[in-house]
Amino acid sequence: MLKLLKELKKDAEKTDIRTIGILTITLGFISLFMCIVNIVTKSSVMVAITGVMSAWFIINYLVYKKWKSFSALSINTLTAVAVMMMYFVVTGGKDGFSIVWLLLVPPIGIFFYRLFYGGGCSILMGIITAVYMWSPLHELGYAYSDTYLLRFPMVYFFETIVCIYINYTLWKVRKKQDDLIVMAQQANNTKSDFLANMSHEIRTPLNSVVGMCELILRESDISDTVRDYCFNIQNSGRSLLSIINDILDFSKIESGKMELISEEFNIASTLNDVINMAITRKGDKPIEIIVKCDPDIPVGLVGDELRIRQVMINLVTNAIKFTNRGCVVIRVSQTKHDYGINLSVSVADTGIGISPEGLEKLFNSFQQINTKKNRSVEGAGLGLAISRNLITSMGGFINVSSVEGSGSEFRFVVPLKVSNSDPFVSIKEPEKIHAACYIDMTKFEMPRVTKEYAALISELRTELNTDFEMFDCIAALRRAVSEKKYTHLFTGREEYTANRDFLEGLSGDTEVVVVQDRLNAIELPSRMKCIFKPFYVMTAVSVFNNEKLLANINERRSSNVRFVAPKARVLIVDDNIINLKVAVGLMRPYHMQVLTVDSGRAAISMLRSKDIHIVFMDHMMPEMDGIEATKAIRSMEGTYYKNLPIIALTANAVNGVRDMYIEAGLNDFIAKPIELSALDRVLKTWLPRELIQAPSPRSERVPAKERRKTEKPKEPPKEKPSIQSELLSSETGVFYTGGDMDAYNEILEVYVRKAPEKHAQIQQLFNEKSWKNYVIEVHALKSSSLTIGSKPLSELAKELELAGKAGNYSLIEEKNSAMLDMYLKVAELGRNYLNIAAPTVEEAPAEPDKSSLTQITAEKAGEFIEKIKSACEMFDGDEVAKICEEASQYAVGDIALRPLFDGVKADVDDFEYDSAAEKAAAISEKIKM
Amino acid sequence: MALEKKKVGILTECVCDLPKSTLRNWGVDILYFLVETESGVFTDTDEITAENVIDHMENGGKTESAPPPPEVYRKSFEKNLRRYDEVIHVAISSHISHSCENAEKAVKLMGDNGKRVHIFDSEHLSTGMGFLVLRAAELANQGCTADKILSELEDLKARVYTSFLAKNADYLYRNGLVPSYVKKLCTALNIHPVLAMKNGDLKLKTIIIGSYESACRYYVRQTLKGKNNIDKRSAFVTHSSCSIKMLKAITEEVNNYCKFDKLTVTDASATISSNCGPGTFGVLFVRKDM
Repeated sequence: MLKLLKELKKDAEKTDIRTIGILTITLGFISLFMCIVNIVTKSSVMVAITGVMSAWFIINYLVYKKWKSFSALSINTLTAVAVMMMYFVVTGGKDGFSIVWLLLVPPIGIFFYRLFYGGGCSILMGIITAVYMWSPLHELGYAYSDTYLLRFPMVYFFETIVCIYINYTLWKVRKKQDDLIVMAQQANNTKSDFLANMSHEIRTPLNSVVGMCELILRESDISDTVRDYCFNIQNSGRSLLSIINDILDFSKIESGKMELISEEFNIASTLNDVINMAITRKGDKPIEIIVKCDPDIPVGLVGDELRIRQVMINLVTNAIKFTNRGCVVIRVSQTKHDYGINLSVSVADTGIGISPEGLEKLFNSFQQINTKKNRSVEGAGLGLAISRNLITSMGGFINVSSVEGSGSEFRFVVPLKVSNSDPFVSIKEPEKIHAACYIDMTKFEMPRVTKEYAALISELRTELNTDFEMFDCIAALRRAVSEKKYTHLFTGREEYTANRDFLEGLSGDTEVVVVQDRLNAIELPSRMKCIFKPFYVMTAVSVFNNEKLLANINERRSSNVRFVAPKARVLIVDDNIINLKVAVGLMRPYHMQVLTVDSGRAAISMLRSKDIHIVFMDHMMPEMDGIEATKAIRSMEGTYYKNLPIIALTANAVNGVRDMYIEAGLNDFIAKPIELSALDRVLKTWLPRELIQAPSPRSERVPAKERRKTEKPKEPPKEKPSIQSELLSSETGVFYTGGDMDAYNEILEVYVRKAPEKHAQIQQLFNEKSWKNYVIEVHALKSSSLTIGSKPLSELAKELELAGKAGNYSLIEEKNSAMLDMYLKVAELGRNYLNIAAPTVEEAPAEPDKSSLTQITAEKAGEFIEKIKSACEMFDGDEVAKICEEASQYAVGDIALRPLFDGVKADVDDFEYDSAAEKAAAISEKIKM
Repeated sequence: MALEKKKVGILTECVCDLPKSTLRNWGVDILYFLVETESGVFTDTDEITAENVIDHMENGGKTESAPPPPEVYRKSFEKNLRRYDEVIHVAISSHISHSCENAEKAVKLMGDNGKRVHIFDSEHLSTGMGFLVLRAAELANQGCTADKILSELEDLKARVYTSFLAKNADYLYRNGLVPSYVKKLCTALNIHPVLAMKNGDLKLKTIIIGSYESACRYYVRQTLKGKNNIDKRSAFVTHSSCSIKMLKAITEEVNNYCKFDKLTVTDASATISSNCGPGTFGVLFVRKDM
């Protein structure tokens, strides 16, 4: 609507100028014509006047062509018209008739030259005419009759007033339209602000959930089941984000700020995400999800995978929403071209279908067609509009065909480059495979499902180039089995239940695989395999290749990084300790030296003392926010500070923020929750190339700190009783920290340890009435309290944050002490739960019993130190920890080595290898003394 | 009807604008034209539709359509020759596309096998060509020889009447079918050009001035003039992105003026649409005699 109004206004302006241009050139031609007529009639004065007039109009037309200026055109043309008209008035033209032309001035002038110029010119000409006709001056010119002299100016003025009135009314309408545009703009800005706030509020806790899941997925010692659960939690978190993102995306598309990020991806990963989402969405609906995928699609595609996945998920989600029985068929195929491939995706369903009238407005925004039928279906009605825009901006096309009552098919195609043309899935030894599939087709209500399954098996046979037979009755299967040995037999849960003995008997010689729904899955004997629906090329090939299904499904699940940068120093700046923890965890597999600070000022002082290769900067921080800190860094002397890559790290992922950050001097932007692909891209883009290395098997292992934990004999985990009080619920906290108790305990511990300091800080800000910083601190308290499971404290903090933002300081004064008291109580509850002593008195480190330590020489100690130095150079935390542990058992003279080496070990634990090496060197000095 | 071994197989191109299901029922194989945009090359109908092309062009994009390369024709001919003794390929008019040329090249590539492939220049496009395809399929199903089918098609192609009413001359100008001044004149004076196939070429037949609604009515009446000489068994209304309301009005007008036993509404392919623009439609039929 807003766009339309703007365009209308722009068009109107263009039309006005064009009209005046046309009018000017027309007048020019008329003058020229008159000039020629006067040449013929040999009226020399008239020739001169009309000649000048025509020249003037033609010059004016050139002005129009050159500058398209409304005012220049208006003044010039109207002056020319006025002079020409006055000449006619004075001379009377032919028999006094020419004065009638004057009556054209008010309507033409006012309507084409607007009120100011046209109206002004008309009135001025009226006055001149009246003065001329009502004074003796008229005796100098043409002899008009007395009646004419009296009445003409009056008629002229009346006409002028009518024209002005009509034009004024039109002007008022136009002004109202302008006001409406301004109002619409304001409403749009308000919407953007609302989106910004909403995204921040929702994305912050989701950051913790999704981020913690990512951390869990990176652990090597978790079971496949936990990995699977965790992956599903992460997916659900992402789906929640997608709702926010839909709105944000639409806003970006509307303003033309949608950015596509092209990077390498594997369609297997995309498809797997889409299927997982489809299965979750399907729930217990009696529909079959059938996936057909061309196995020859190249493994390395280059494009915006996130957006392709988004469109696929949107289409599949829609199909499931509108289908109550039958099936949803997802087909992924390709056509090869010189530039790469066209990736085609189609999603067909047996749902309610769309009427021909509905199809016409299907891709419009905010519309769900046939609203009566779809009342039970949720959705903002933006999905298809976003999908169409995304596909179009990727250079592709989306279209739909549908039959009302029978179902719909949505298809899209995008051109993609290929980085690796190997097929994304292939069987190791296809000639050795003799597979059979037994599906009792009578169990499906709709013939379409039967047809699709039959087609699927037929396609698998052709595309995988392997022996794959289809049976739809058990008698035929029994006959075939007696005649031929099959390597694999795929069957459904119902078929297995009905023919349990026969199929279990077969499982000795043949690998029997039961394909069943995740929900209602049944236990199978250990010699039989189970795979979850949908059965498609990837699951089939995994079985044929005897691969562990969970491992091969998705490389994203194990979150392997594609490079390491052990020499890179990264600084993360965030006031929220939990966000810091998540960010540090995400960066751990890159083996970088990660430093953290919790404020902009601390970041600046850290940058003065250390060489950092890249900075990740949060936006909203107390005292000095990310943008202020960046500006301060950029203003520091030296090219290093000007060129240092600073990346914004924020949950404020709305329209235009990227531009805002770039303008402020930041180099790039990552939205929270941090997506691994985004982090990967940013690190690859901004880290110096010489620091990036291919991951060695050594660097793919679990990080040093974690490994050290596992090297110790594992004690059975002590089950902590859960805490359920009004103020603190470990259950809620576990939910918000990604479903892992250990992660929750770890985060709660940080929260509890930081509590006294934060408490004092908030109190101080309150005393100083530093409301801006107070709001930021309370904002941080709100999200961290919710993350550890203290909803009441989070809500109270939120209330005070909003009060601070609204300037309602009396409410803050009223409730601040209640909030701080509650904060202390929550910290106390957490401390008790974790069994941590109150940090009131700093415990002195216990002095080691020197008599029990073995004495070694300074040279021997020096060997330890040298080893530590070289291990630090190699960034080998494991090795340093091992040497420190060993050296701690000794003493050199009176000097016990444990306290000294503990410091070194602590530095390594914080990835401070330089500092560790310096401390080791200092030990060497101390021993020599 | 479809899969039994037949003597003659029929092939055609997607620009015949017949529904896929109809062609499948008749056992006719289709070759798809390619539409090239700034970002890639897309297969007509399968990957890119008329609406897609028009959207793209309305947003300032450019498109160019082309028949498939000879290699694609060759593969398709060879595939069909495995099922049939001879193959007739009904191609779009050679005056407006290189389709026949590419098909001929493919035949040459096939050596002796190529002798069993007959390229038939339909001298029509869209469902005008569709009439020929359907007739060829019908005759092939009846077991006629290739020669017999080809001679029948020669006779029929002269009687097929293919014409279109374009909403304006914008797309015709973009595709070089009319000069710039004609386009400007059409826009300024609300002129709607009528194009018709003559001797294999698509030419400006006449113009209709006035609102598009009245132009549509006038076009239908003018096209169906001399209805006694029209074969009333079947006709097509083929359109490019016309609204449901408009199509309803057109079919009503056709039925009021000349009652056909079967009046089929079909969508124009992306290739055809990219040349004529949105809102274009045609009433296509066969005359009893010339």
